[in-house]
Amino acid sequence: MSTRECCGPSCGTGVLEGVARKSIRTIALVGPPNSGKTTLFNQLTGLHRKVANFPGVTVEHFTGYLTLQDGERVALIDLPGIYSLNAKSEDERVTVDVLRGQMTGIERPDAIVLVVDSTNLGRHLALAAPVISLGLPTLVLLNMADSLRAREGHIDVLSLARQLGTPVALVSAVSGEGLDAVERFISSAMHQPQPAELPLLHDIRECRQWAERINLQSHYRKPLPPVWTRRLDAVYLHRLWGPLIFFLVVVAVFQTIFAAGQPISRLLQDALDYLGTAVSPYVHNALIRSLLMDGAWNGVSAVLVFLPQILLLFLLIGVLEDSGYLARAAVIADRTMSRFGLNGKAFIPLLSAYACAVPAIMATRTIENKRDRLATIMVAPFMTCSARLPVYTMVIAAFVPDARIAGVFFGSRALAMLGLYVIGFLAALFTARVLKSSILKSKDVPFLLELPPYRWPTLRSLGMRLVDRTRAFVWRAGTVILGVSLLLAMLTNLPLHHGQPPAIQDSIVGRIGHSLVPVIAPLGFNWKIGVGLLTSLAAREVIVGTLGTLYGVDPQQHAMSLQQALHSDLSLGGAAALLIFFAFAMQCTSTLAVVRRETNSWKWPALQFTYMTVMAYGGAFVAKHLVDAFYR
Amino acid sequence: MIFRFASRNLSSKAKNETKTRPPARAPKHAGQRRSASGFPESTAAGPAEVSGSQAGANDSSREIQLLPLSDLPQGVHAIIHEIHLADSAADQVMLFGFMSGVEIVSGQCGPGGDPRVYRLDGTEVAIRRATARHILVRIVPEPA
Repeated sequence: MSTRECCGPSCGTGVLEGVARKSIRTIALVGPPNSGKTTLFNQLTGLHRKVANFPGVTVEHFTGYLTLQDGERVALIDLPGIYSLNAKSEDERVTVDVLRGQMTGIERPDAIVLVVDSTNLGRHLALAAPVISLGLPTLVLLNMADSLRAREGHIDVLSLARQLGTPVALVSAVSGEGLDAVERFISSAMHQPQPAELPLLHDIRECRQWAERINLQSHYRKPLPPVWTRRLDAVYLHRLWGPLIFFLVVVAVFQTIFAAGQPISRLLQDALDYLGTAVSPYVHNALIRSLLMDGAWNGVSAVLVFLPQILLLFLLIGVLEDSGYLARAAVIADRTMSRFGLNGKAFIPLLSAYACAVPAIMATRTIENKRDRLATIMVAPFMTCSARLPVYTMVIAAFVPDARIAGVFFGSRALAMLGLYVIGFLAALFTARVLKSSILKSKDVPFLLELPPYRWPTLRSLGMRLVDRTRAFVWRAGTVILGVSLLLAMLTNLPLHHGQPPAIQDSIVGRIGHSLVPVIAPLGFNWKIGVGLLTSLAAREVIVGTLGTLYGVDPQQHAMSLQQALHSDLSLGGAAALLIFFAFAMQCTSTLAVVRRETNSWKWPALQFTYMTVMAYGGAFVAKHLVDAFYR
Repeated sequence: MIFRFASRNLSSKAKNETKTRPPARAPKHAGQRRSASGFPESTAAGPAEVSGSQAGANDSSREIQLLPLSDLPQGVHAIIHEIHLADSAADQVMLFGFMSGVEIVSGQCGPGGDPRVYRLDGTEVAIRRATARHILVRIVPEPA
């Protein structure tokens, strides 16, 4: 079957191209969830929007530009997936609003590219009727042509185009096959005859029946069932093996982060140290050298060394997301989630909160029920985000001896890390329970999750995630952390006393830190940790940079590694308290800002901040005294 | 329409299947159905599909025997008969293909049997027991 069968009734009407192009400026990508709109968008625009193999990855509109062969640019709007034009959830509403021209800041699109999964046309084509009826020039792309072919499905594209009255093309957004259809469509879109008169369809049922009829007339042969998906699911969703494998997968993720991440991290540390010592002789002024090297460079490099671990985490999450395993994990975890009152759809946002709470809170848009959505937003920051990873790794590496437990597979440090992740998750469940049985009570809504066939993660998609993450991480280190470190380094040298910098305790930073001591002493923290807690309000990992700077500037700890210095500053109980504090505390201005935006009020972020801070303080207090009582 | 098609299919197949198939786990409601249709107790261990099919094949005038989707044993084929859900919820399950007349197969499930994955329409959708309870189905034999 040829994939160049892109043709509608209008094939060859490229005569008036110039005129047409002027009128097509904006094209919207519409289609059911997980039909490959964003993959197509990335192919056409060369951008790197996040894609994964589960429904509901894209939750907001995003505009990119497609450059045509003659150099003209057309705006392409990537939209969240919809099953129908009756928007139920926030993300669907975005799509419907854009299509109706009701989204502020976005013009009503001039044309539509409808992307559907060719292996699932019975269901996906039902969306064609309402979308084509919008009256805009429409191109229908039957995506995943490669899967259709591999699974011996078939569709008569020409006949389908005749039925729909729109051009239709079989494409594969992943490989790029057949995508020239889009450009041909743009050049001729304005000369399409009016779409065939479609019957007026009132409800979903009628749409489905209509789609069945069209499929029948287009000789659609359903592809064979995905054999490998069935085989894998027989194991991954097995009564016994399923949960066990799920647990092993999670443990393996942490073990990899430690076992593979730490050596790379150490190499990076050596390289950064070498770079520092190599450059420092060229800075002649002693004061400036101390500021730049002991202060700023120590702070920034203390954070940068965690890049390998963070990239590993993102790589592993990426593999789970792109392969389709995540949807299965959602099925396995659903019972636990539902027992704590969480909506089944909450699992995927919560899981993506392991990377970062900000996109996770955005992803809650897929939850239709307002109260369920709020509950998920409120608990998402308890999930251990990647910004906590440097803090955990730093403290664990300093205090937990590296030992093997249960053979060679489980390391004690990975286990300690896993424990912290579990504590965060339990805190989230507990909070959800409290919220759902008090202020956010709601009726159960049906939980429906489509399980996509397993796919091989593409190197391109994984690579894109890593590049984006590296960029974001280095950017943060180069701006926020560099800024804070420089400021701290300066303030440790002020006020000048007879032209000499003061002892560190008497500097401005020292005084601020000491003023915090009455509050934090019960948790076993000294003033330096206090300063770290203060700066970590901007973002969690800033504490690592801050401690790097403070220890670098302090002559007594100057020669020590970060871990050694931390050891001299904290008791074991204090270390436990610090970990628990970071597990619970809401130290992230970006998260607060996104909660404010998504809930449209200050009430929720304020409540969240207060609740989490109280819990962090209480938890840290208990942890310190428990550990001190046992290990004295 | 599909519904009638399915039961016609069965009349020819039901007999030999009774002998060849190993007994499947019978659904909760199957027992009641059997006694109601007057089969001897000894055949009660027969495949679950058959009881449904015979009910359909034996006579068309009698009321069709239905069971909730949540009671459909794993691997057994059925046809959705009716959906007893509030309008908004019914719309939602319909978007995922849960409509009367659609063939559905019960698949794998999460720990403890909830939620369960159902195959219908060439896709796999997981739903919770609480929802599946309100969808009534009629067991049919596996298509050849």
